[in-house]
Amino acid sequence: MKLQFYETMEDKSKEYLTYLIDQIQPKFTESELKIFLEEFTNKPNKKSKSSKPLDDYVKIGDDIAKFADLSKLTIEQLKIFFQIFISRENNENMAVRWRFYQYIKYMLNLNKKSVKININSDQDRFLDFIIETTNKEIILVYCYNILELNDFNKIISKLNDFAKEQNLIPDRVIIAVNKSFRNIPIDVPIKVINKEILPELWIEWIEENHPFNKEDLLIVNNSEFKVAGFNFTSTDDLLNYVFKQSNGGQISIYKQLDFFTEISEDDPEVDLIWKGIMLK
Amino acid sequence: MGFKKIDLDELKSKISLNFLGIPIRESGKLTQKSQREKKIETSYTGSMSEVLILNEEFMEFHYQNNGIRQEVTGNGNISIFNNSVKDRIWDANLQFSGSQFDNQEKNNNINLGIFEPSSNKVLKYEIVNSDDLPDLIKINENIDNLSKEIQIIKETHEISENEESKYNIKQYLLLLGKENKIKFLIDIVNVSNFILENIKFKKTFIDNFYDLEFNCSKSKDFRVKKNSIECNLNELNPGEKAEITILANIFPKKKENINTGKIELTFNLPSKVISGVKVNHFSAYSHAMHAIEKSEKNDTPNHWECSLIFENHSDFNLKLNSIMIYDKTKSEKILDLDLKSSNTKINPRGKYNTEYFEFIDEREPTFSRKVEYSVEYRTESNSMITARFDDTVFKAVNMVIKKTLPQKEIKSFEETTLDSKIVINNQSTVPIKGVRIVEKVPEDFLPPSNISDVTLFKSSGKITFEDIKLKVIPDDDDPSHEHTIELLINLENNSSKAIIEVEDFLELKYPLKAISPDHNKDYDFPLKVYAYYPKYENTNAEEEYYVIMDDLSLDKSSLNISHKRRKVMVGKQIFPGRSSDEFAIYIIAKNGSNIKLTDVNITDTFPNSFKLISSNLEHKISVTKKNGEQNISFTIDTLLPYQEKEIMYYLKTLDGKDVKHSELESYFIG
Repeated sequence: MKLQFYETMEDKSKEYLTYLIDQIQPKFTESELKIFLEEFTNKPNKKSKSSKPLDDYVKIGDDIAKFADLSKLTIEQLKIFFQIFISRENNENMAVRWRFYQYIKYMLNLNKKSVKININSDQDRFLDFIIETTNKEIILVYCYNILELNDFNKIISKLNDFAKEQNLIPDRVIIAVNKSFRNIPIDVPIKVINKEILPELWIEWIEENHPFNKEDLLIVNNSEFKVAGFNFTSTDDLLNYVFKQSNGGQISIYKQLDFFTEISEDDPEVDLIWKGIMLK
Repeated sequence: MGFKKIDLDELKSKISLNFLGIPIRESGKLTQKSQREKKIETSYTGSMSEVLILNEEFMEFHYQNNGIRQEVTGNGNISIFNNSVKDRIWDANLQFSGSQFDNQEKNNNINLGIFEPSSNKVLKYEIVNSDDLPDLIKINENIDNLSKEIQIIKETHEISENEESKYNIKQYLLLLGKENKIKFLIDIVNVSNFILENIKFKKTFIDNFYDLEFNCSKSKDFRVKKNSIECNLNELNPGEKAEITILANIFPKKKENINTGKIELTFNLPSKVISGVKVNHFSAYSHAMHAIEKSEKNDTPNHWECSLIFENHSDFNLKLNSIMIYDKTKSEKILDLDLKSSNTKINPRGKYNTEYFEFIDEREPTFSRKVEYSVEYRTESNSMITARFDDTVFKAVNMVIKKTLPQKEIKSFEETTLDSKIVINNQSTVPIKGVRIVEKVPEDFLPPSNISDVTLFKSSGKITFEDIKLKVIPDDDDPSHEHTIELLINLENNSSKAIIEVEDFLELKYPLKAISPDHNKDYDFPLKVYAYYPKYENTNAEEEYYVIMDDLSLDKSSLNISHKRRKVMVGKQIFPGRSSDEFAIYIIAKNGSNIKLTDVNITDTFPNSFKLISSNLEHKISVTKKNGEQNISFTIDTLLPYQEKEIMYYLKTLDGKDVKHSELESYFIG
């Protein structure tokens, strides 16, 4: 658990942090990095009051092949990356929304066509993502650290106005949270104009006793590809990623213990953690 | 950055750091979604894994306090555990039977799909025919108030246990404002045919009870918690009984009902589910390899020696069920091995080879083959039962008796009628069914002889009541000896109607005759009132009563006999005046008794030759018709005990002539 908290890390050198941040998967593109840094480190991208709400949403992730250059990040920026994506000690609404954004890059059964992100930095910002799928479905995504009933009711009450103003009736409404109170009525359909939608609650799921740690290197098949353990919070999460990234077929996943925190041995020991077939 | 879509069941009941708030208990619907959080012990040793199928049932029997079963609810879980840390299993198929699957198809065959290593799936089912399930345990709680002031009277026959539970609910009483010692005798009987294990007994208690003492025939392991007593009974064999005795004191201060305390038993029924649900078969595949080894014979070309090899690549024990080999066109069956009955087990990393069979082919032969195998599994079952027994209440009882006589004092040796009044105030939380009043009437007094002399009043006014009986012992009119009056009110009939409702009172009035009371004697009228409370509620067969007696102390009912006799003296004295025609008459009235005299009338006479000059007391003068003498009358309003009062009046002759003193010694009345 050496990557649990930024402050307890022994080595906070820029080189080491850059190395770790470079292991974050899926990789950030240039446009994603730009929005991310503006949101967290640069001046907020405030819109004037007269601008239309939809002006707050910009397309993100279209530049798939243009991976961002992380070598120029400052220590402060690296720290933010570390606390959101590696140690996951930052659970603010904004952190949850960026982790959810990372997740939808390899989320199964989401045939996404485009993703729009809300870049309005107001505290009471409403709605984080508008996802359009290849099936022409519209998915609205709200991200919260802790979802209380008040938050949920606020979403419901504003949703209708938003739909009317934008003439945008969603097909799915996803609320992605780190923690939730149990009294959220997710079994009661939301009525958006004339359409009834059952809200979906997505929890940032950390599987207890999953077979790998943050510090481990995960090796798929015979070094088909390697990925850092801190990118995943459960076996299912890992398998979804491997399914997206691999060619399928017979899959064996191994772990190399403490790869990111210990000095590698010449002949490191690897353990099989999963074996199965993925049909694509 | 894993996210997971969760459903309502998970949100409400799953134990996880992701959810804030207390989990809400799951309902018992059959579902395949669940996973068991708590890991069970596994026999995994590093080289061998197992599949464990655990059928657990959770039943709750709810009984009323009279032992009648009210409800049975429950559900069952069939949990399938893949205890391997590395091997998945797939195409898992479970067959089971039993009548509990109300929302399953008849064949009760469920495909459970894939199990990841160290994972499990849980099938939940509801117990649907719970009314048909037999009782496993029976509790009989007998509560006695050991206070001496409470007696139990059985008027006729004893009520058998069966009758008792059939329509009777026992009432329990506590004396208000007094210390009550209560004995709880609890019998726990295993009425099942199985050994019941890990029995935990719990009885709730309000903290008003103190000085608790416990005894149990099966255990000494009592733990007293804030509002309960707990005891581990370990196990009970079929028919075996455990007896728990609890002694406790309580001093009720408020007029309120106090709960007797619910009883809860939890126990296990090992290796058994009482609903009859049975796991019949389980099959699943895991990592294995099969191949056909083909070797061309050295001495005979195109003749191939073939054998099927089956290799277990998992950590499970695998069981080979069948091997079928056809030629590549599937037209000729070459090998058909049915191994189901032979129990062919292949250990982890073990291998199985079929017998060699020969095949002739110019080219390397190919075959069509089908191998059926399954991981081995182990089944366990267990039932966890909770039996809850409702409690009842102790009712607080208290009555206040008051006796009054309108005449606080009567005269000695005079016949006087006293109107005796008795008021019984019910300050209990339970009505008084009937009362028995016993009063001792001392000698020189006579009790009422007729029931019509007794009148009854309640808060609603005067009542006429038929169920009232008067006994006088001995039944005579001789005042020279003591009599006992016994009044029985509302005790003869079986009516459930109470004579004194809660917060109401009963007032009785009857005459007592003082014949010749002697002031030298102390007369006492000791009174005892017996209040009858039914031992059973809601029944017409009220043969058993709790009887609580209260009596009046002597001071409250004793009567003063006053002995008063009069002693009066009135004297007259004549004095001459300054001249010979004047006289002063002096009269003195003396009260020599201890009683107050009122309206003492004194009359004197003087000749008509005199005239009245003055007097010191108001007077009346009249002339007698007989001889013309004049009468002078005085009235003294009161003469207190031993008081003297003087009267003086002055006379003068009318003609101024001298008169003789003797003329004034007239007749004097006073």
